[in-house]
Amino acid sequence: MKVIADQKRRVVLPKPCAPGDVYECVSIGDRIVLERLQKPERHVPPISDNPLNPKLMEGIDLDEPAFPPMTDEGLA
Amino acid sequence: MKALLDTGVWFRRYHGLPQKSSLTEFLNEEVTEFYLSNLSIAEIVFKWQRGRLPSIPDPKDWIQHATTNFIMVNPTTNASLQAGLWKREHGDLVDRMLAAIALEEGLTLVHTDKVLKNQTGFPQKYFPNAG
Repeated sequence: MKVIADQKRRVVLPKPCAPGDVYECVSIGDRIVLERLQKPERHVPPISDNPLNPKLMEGIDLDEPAFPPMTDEGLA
Repeated sequence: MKALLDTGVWFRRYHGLPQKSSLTEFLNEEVTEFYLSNLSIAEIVFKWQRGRLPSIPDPKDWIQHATTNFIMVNPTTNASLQAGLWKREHGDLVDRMLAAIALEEGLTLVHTDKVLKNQTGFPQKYFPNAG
């Protein structure tokens, strides 16, 4: 199959190319090879089967430092 | 997006605690790779051992499961140097280390820390806490 680049070097790729596909474009001399890239498999961390009761966490600031800095120090 | 979860974000998400829908959506839709530092484990266990997280089960019973599918990152010498040298008022050592790791590894630090959000020099995304 031939594809012809327009004035802006754009071409329409044949099926099964689909909108949104991502290709690696490799030039080898006069040849240009398009290699379709696959999305990496997504590994999602689990959530506990036994969620904590939010009421038990009331008043607890998880952003509070575990190791509080000294309050009276500054840069040397 | 490659995201390094702050200790609180990781902990809340795993234990099913309330978080902003925008954060949930971000984690579900935008994050392609989840990163966690062993510093976060140490921070949570340290707090738990000193009774600052009284309602939390023994971490030995859930830490392994809670770190599943995370890519674990640890501070390098350069990141540790950066964490110490930053001339910022934010003195939380763990946060400084996480910020330095994010900078060095090209990760976005996802957090809910109102103090940290005002710091610059590293990739970050801040979400307010729920409630």
